[in-house]
Amino acid sequence: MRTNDVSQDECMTGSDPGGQESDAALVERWQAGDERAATTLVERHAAPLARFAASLGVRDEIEEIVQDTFVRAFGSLGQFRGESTLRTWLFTILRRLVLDRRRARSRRPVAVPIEEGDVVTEFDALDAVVADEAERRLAAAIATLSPTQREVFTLRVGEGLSYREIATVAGTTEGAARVHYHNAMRAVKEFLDG
Amino acid sequence: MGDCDNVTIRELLPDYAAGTLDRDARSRVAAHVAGCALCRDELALLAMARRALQPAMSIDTARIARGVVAATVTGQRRHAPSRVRATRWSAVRLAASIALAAAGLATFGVWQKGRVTDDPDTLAAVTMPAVAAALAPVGGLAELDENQLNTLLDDIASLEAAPAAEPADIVPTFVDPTAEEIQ
Repeated sequence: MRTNDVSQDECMTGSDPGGQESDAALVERWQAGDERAATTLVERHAAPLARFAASLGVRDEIEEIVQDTFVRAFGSLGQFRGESTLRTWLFTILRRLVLDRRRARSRRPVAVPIEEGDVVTEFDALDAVVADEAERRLAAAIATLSPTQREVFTLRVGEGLSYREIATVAGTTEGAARVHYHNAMRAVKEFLDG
Repeated sequence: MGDCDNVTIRELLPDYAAGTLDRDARSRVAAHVAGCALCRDELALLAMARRALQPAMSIDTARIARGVVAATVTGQRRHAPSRVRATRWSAVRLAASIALAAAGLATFGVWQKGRVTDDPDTLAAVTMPAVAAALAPVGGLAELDENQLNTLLDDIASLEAAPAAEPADIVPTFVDPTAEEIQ
């Protein structure tokens, strides 16, 4: 039903329905030594990964963490079994990197733990580029969500991931992802109605 | 803002807004939304949320791509030889352990034959061929750098099997059952 659940087809045809070269074909070319394939993959997925990092509260090191995500992924392509899309796998790696950095920081004496307010600040910064008042209110509504709700809402609405893909990325179940999404949607509606 | 009772359609609204539905599903959702004000409102909310969640990020994808390619290619070049070195180093340590055991056995053999000596030249003549033979397949000690040599020496020093002192005389344990009990 969803046209982005086509990882198997992509492997067979080498291109997606939009006519772009598929991720699977690009991965094959990269493994054969074609550096342009890696560049194409980065250009295709860097922006969604950066947005996801921002939604997780990353502020100053977004480019660095996106780059680390690709380096990790390209360095372990042998472990990528194709059971999820490359995009889902990249999201999963990025999320793990963010959590690892957060844990590493929390172990340091001078660490500044990422609080709820930090993420709100991220969305406050977003306000600057959101001209429309309604969109500004919506951004404020999203900022009131719990971190888990916001993560699921971002992946479902912002990136168009299925519940199954969200479950893979967030290390949870499809059912839990669905519940978090609907709770988030209800909270957003209540904020806007209030 | 309320919720439509048609759960199936509501579940598909985010995918409809993202444009990831196939043609049949898209037509089904569009037909429902045309007659449902609640779903139209939710769809408008989703479209607005997509815009809010997809701000123009000022990231330099070309720079990221260059960094990724450089790091990955360099990593592949750097890791491959290090694996060889690691394997080689393990072989050296294993060979050194075997050599030590061989030297110990050779020394024990000399001692057993009653040719016990403190003369370092004699001991070296007995043990060094065994050590050299054991290390020969991995290139010998000359191939090791200072750190590897120090680690090897530390390993040898910490081996419990290495005799710290000359062994005590062997006391016969055979007892002649016909002899009188030893007082």
